[in-house]
Amino acid sequence: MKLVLAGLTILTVVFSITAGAEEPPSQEAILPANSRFIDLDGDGFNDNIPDVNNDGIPDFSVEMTQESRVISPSGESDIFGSLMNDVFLPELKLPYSQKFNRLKYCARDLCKSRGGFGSDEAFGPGNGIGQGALSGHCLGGICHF
Amino acid sequence: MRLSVNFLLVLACLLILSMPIRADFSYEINLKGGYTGNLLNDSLGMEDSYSTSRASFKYYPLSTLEIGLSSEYTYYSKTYGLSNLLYSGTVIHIPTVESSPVTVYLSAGYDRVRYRENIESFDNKTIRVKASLSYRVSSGMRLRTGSNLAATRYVNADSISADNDQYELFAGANMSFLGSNSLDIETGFSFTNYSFINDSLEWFNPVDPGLRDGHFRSFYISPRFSRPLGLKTGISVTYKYRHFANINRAVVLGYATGFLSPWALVFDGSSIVLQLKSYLVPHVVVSAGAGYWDKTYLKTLERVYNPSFHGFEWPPPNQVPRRKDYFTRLYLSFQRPITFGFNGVLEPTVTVDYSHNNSSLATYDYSSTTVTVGLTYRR
Repeated sequence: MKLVLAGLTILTVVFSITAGAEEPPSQEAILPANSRFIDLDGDGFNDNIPDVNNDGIPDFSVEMTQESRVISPSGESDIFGSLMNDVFLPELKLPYSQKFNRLKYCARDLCKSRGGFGSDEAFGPGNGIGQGALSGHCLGGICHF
Repeated sequence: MRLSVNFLLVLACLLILSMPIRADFSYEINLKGGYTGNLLNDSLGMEDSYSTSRASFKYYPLSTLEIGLSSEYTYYSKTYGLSNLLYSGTVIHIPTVESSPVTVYLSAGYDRVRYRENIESFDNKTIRVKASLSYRVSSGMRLRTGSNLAATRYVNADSISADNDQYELFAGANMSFLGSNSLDIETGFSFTNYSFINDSLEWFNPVDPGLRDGHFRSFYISPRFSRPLGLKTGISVTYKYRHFANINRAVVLGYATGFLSPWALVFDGSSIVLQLKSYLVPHVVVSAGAGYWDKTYLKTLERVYNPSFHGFEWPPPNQVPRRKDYFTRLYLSFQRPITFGFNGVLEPTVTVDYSHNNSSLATYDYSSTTVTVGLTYRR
């Protein structure tokens, strides 16, 4: 019952804020007309907004192109083509770390799942406090994936 | 020990010598200090301060491969024995290309935790393996599925009997609708083995606890809704329901009051979490969250204090109560990333965290406030 009340309270707050929030300027306004909103990491922001200086803060003022973060530099279409590119397309001068981070961006919904036997209390940047070094995947031998 | 150090040195030399021209690396150094008003999350309310230092190194021999090593040491000023060293290694391989509608994610990792004196029986190591893939159905919809495996072993000869292997299968879908709204639904099954005591026993012998091997299953489903509020604020609401099966006749050994016990965080029930992230303050990331959990734990045998002879004793397994908690947690965090040349980022962080727990067992009625200040440099 308490959970239901808490849920209803949260949803009421969310939707009342949403209804009262200033619509423009929205995140869609800085994207091309044919770019869809997508939020795979669940932070409420459009994942397609670029972060040019890589500081973790999206650059809302930067005009971006359609799907600019997910287009392969070489335009290859085969699923496992990037390994071949490393060998045969030396003109792709990006360091491997940057290329890997682009791939990891595509897999951002796969890095962590919400199941398992472990606790999901450890949400937010302060998670694991009090457990110190146990703030990794496992606590007391029980792992949260 | 000497052999393993030499082996690591040789391995590092081989990696450097075999480094392709565009192979590179990144690293991160993190220092954190904090105070917690309730280290053990119980009614004792033991205060402590702590500091954590962490270093991690990632190497990219291929554009599809990341090899990571990290080490983290935490020092507790009052509860010194709890100070511990964690080191881990992770390999991640993503063999698919960016333009493909299919993404494959493979990872394997190893974690090792070592405690100081009196708590070394909790030293453990864990091997983790994950394989998952997603399929982009359209620009606004993606499906995903995958599996996880984690095998944990307590390494010391007098260790507790809580070695376990966990398997998990999951599937999910993420879709955008009505403009800037996102719905993500995930569901899955987990399986694990564990040691338990028959709950019909009328007395308990700690010398020969008569532990039996058992298995139990877990099912969960979790929808998440997220959307922006204006240009620079995002919000998400996540609900989760988890249900355990095959646990009605079992009592597990608690080993300690919460915290390091293998069963400290194993519960089923429901939760709802609201999270908010904002970039309204220039150059600052403000994060806040509120969560509520309705938890039912496994029946856990713990030593209880008997005031008649001023000591602790084991209760009969057939009288172990089921613990039910209502837990609330709030946090507020500020991060200020500062960029340097050569892609370096320095990031000071301040976090305030409050939690409150109401339990059917008075031992676990508590509140806790934690303040943490951290500094991270990554490149």
